[in-house]
Amino acid sequence: MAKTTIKHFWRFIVMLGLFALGASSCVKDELPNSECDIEKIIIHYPTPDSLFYRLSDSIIIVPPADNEIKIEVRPDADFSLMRIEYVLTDGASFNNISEYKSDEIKIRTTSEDGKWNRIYTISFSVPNESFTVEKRIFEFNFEDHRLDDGGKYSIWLNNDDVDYWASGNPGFKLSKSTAKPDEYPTIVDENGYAGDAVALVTRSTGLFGEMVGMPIAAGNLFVGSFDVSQALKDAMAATLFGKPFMYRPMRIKFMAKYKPGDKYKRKSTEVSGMVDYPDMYAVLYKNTDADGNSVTLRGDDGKTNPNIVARAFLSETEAKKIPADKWTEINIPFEYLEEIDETRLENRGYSFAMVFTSSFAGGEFSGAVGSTFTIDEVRLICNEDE
Amino acid sequence: MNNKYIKIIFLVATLLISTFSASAEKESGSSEAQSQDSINVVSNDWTGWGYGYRLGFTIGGITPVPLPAEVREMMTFSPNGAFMQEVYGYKLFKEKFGFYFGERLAIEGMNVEARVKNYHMSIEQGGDYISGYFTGVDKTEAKLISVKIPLEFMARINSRLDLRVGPYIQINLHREFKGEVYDGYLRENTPVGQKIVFSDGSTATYDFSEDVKKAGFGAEVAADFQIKNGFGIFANLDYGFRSVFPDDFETISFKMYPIFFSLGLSYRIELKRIIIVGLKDKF
Repeated sequence: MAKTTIKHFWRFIVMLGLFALGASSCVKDELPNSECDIEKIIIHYPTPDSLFYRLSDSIIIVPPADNEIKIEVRPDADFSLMRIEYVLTDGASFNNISEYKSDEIKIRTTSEDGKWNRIYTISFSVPNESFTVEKRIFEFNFEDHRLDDGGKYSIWLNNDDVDYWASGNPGFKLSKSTAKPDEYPTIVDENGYAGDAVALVTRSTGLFGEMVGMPIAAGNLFVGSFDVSQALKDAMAATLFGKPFMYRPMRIKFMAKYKPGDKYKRKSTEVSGMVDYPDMYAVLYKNTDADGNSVTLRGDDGKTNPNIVARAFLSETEAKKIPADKWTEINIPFEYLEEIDETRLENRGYSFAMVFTSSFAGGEFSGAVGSTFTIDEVRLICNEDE
Repeated sequence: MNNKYIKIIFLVATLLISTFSASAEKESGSSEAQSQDSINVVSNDWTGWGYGYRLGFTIGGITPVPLPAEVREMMTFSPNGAFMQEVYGYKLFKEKFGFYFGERLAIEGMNVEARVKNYHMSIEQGGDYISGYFTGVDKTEAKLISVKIPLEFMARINSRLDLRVGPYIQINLHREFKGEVYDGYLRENTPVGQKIVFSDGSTATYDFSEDVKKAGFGAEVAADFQIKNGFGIFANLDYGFRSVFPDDFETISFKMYPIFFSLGLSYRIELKRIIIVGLKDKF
C-alpha cells in the first residue's frame, strides 16, 4: 500500500516537473532573418589602381543605416569592366532595379523572411576639387543648415555636401527622442558673428543616458562622419574624423564665445572648483597605413594618431580665456611633424579633420551641463600662410 | 519602505503561528499520552480538521508561455530567493474530500541569461522612448516576495497521499524585475532601421520593478505525502493567470506569467475527538 502510494506520489511530482518544463523552456525553431543589409561591397576591376585613388576604397564596409553609398573614383573609370560583389545579411536576397555597371546603381534587398526591403543607391563620382599648390582659403560660415530627414536635429552643409560636417546629434536622438531641434547638443545660433553660428552645448542625456553609462553629451561639430551604430557601444569609435584633402593647411582662424556650465561632473560625480573649457583641434593625416589599409582617426586618437602629419591645437590656456559675452578671434598656425609627400597629396592619401567640442573631456562623459561653445566664420588657409 | 514593515510583520506573524502550532503539538501529544494511560478511550475519531506548517524551496520563472521563437537559448538559469513557508488548515468530510486554506510567504525569483533574436522591445523613460528589435543576450533578475493565499479543493487519496487543486491570490510585498542587454544590437523601430551595437562590455541596464503588478492570482496543484508522525513532504505547482506586467506595458511584448514549483517538508496535526468512557465510575 505504502509502496504504491510512494510510486504515485513520485509520478505526480515528475508530471508536475515535466509540465513546468514543457510550459517554459522548449526552444522553438529559429525564425528566418528579418534584416536585409548590404554589409560590405567589394569592387573588382582589372587594374584597381586606375579606378581608385586608394586601393582600400575597393572594399566598402557599409554603415548599417546608410542607404546611399558614395564611392570616389578616378576621372577615367570604365564601369563596363567593373564587377561588384555584395555581402548581405544571411539569407537576404537582392535585385538590381537600375542598369548595372553605370555610375549610379539602385538595388533592392529583401530579407530572408520576405517581410522587409531596403533600397540602396550606389554612386560613383569623381572628386570635384583639383590639386593645386596655389594659396586657397576655405570659408565655413554655417549659414547652410537644415533639419535631418526625420526632422529632429540640425545638420550643416558645405557647398551642398551634406556629408562634410558631422555631429553627435544622431547619437543624442537615441537617448532623448522627444528633444526639439534646439535642445540637441549641436544647434543653430541665429545671433552669430555674421549671420548664423553653431552653438555646441553640453547636455544631460537623461535616464536613457544613465542606462548606458553615458550621462552627458558634449556638443560637437567635426569634419567626418558619425557612426550611430557605435554610439552606445563606444562613443569614441562613433566619431570618425576626416575627409580626403589635397592641400597643405597652414592656419585656422575662427570666431568664438564660451560660457562654462555651472556644475562640473566627472561621469556623474560633481567635482567642486572645476571649470569646464572647450576644445578645438585640426589635423592633416595619412589616411592609409604602410600596407594600404584605410586609416580613420576617431575620438580617442584624433590628437595622437602617429599618422598625423600636421596639427593645430587650441591650447588649454587660450581655451580658458575665451569670454562668454564677446566674440574673440582664435588664430592657430599648423605645426608640421613631417614632410608632405606630394604624390600622396595628389592621390587623396591625406585626410583633413577639424573638431570642435563644448567640453574638453566630453569624450569621457565629463563636463558641465550647459557649457556653450559658439563658433562662427571658420577660415582654413592652405598652401601659403598669410 | 512600507513594504519592508509589512514583510517584517508578516514574518513575525508566521513565526508566531508556527511556534504556536509547535506548542499545540506538545499539548496534543501529552493529552494522547494521558488518554493512553487511562485506557478509558473508546473513540479516537478524527474531527476532519487539521492544520500544519510547511517549508520548502521554490524554482521557476516569470516567463512567456509558450516560450516565443524569439528566445533562442537559455544560457544560464538559477533561482533567486527560492524559499517559501506556509501555515495552513483544512477540513475533510468523510475523511475523503474537503477544503484547504493557507497563508504563505513566498520568495520566488529567477536569474536568467537568454540569447534572443529579433525580440521586439520598446522602453519608455521619463517621456523618452526607444523601440526596436533586439538580437543578443538579455539578462534578467526577477524576484517577488509575496503573500499567497491558496483556497483549494482537497482529496485524500489514501492515508498517506493528499492531492489539492484550486485558486490562489498573490499580494506582492516586494517586486523586482531588472536586468541588462549586451552582446548584440538593437535595430531601431524596424529590422531595417538604425543598428545600435552593444558589445565589448557596453550594456544597457533596465529596471521595470515599478511596473510589476502589486497583485495577481492563479491556480495551484499540489500533493502532500505523509511519512511519519505528522511529518511529510510536499510538492506544488503555481501557475499565475495574470501577466506580471500591465496589458499596456510595451517594453516586453509578451505576457509574462509567474510559474513556480515548490518542494519541501511539512508537519501537520489532525484534531481528534476524544471520548472517554467510565468517567461516571470515578465519581
